[in-house]
Amino acid sequence: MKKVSAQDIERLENALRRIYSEGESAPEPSLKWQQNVMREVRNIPLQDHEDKTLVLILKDLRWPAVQLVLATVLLIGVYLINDAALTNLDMSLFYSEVQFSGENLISYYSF
Amino acid sequence: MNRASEETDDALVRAIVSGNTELFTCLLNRYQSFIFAVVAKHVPSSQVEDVAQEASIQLYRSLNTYTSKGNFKSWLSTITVRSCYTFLRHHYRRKEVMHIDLSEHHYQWLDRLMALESSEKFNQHLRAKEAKELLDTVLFSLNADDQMVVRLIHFEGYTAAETAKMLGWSTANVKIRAFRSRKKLHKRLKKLLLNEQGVAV
Repeated sequence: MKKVSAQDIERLENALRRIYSEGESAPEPSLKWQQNVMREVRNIPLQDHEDKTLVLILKDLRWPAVQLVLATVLLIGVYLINDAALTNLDMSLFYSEVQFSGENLISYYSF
Repeated sequence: MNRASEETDDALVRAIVSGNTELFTCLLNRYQSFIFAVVAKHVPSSQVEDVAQEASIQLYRSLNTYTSKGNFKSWLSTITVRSCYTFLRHHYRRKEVMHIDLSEHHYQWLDRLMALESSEKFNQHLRAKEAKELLDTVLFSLNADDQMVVRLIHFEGYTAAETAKMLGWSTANVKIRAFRSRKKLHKRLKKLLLNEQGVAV
């Protein structure tokens, strides 16, 4: 069974790094390539700078807006969870428990 | 157009944004070789022209967001790197991974490389055709995120902060990814050295 040491891996990694940095030179762009780009570009309307700024501002506002909604939901939750609401919840759980056991309340209390 | 070719990058960008589309040719003349050079580092040679075209079009679309700080080249390199990243992600997701089936020649080349002692012969050996094919096989077997990090940080020597800026990630994310991708790279290199098949995904 062949054994591979950490040094072997490092040596190969360094070799690959060298191959990468000394890699074959990039192809030179042709005139046809440039004409193709210009043909495409002529059909693209440049967006108004102000529109772009507006989009950026709206994007920046996204996270604060989420925080505001969460805070509002939390406040409403705290406001709604009062003693009466908890009692109601408790009672409805109790009723459903009684119904689930197949008894009516009268027989339940008489028990 | 002749006078325009002497203008600064910032002035050219302003003129193009204000409606003189034809001046984009001057920008292309100035930077198309640079775009090709960056793209050729990240995508297979058969795809360089297409990705460079995408990057150039993206450049044009983004011109109105350029904040004239006199660092056009670095801004352009970010756009180009991101175009390569988009290309790699798209191809990796569609499993169109560009891998070369490694043959006996590649494994022989690898065995010889590991056995070479003299640095002169080592350098000569790195110029073989198999070297580039092996490099491509290893890199393209990684997913797009790992590839970008390996190329930019481990092979090109960019810092985590520079890489984060180029890819639009957080620095912490780049650091974590750099650690993991290097481990993945080492795993693949180990497989290669063991002459195991299946280095490519």
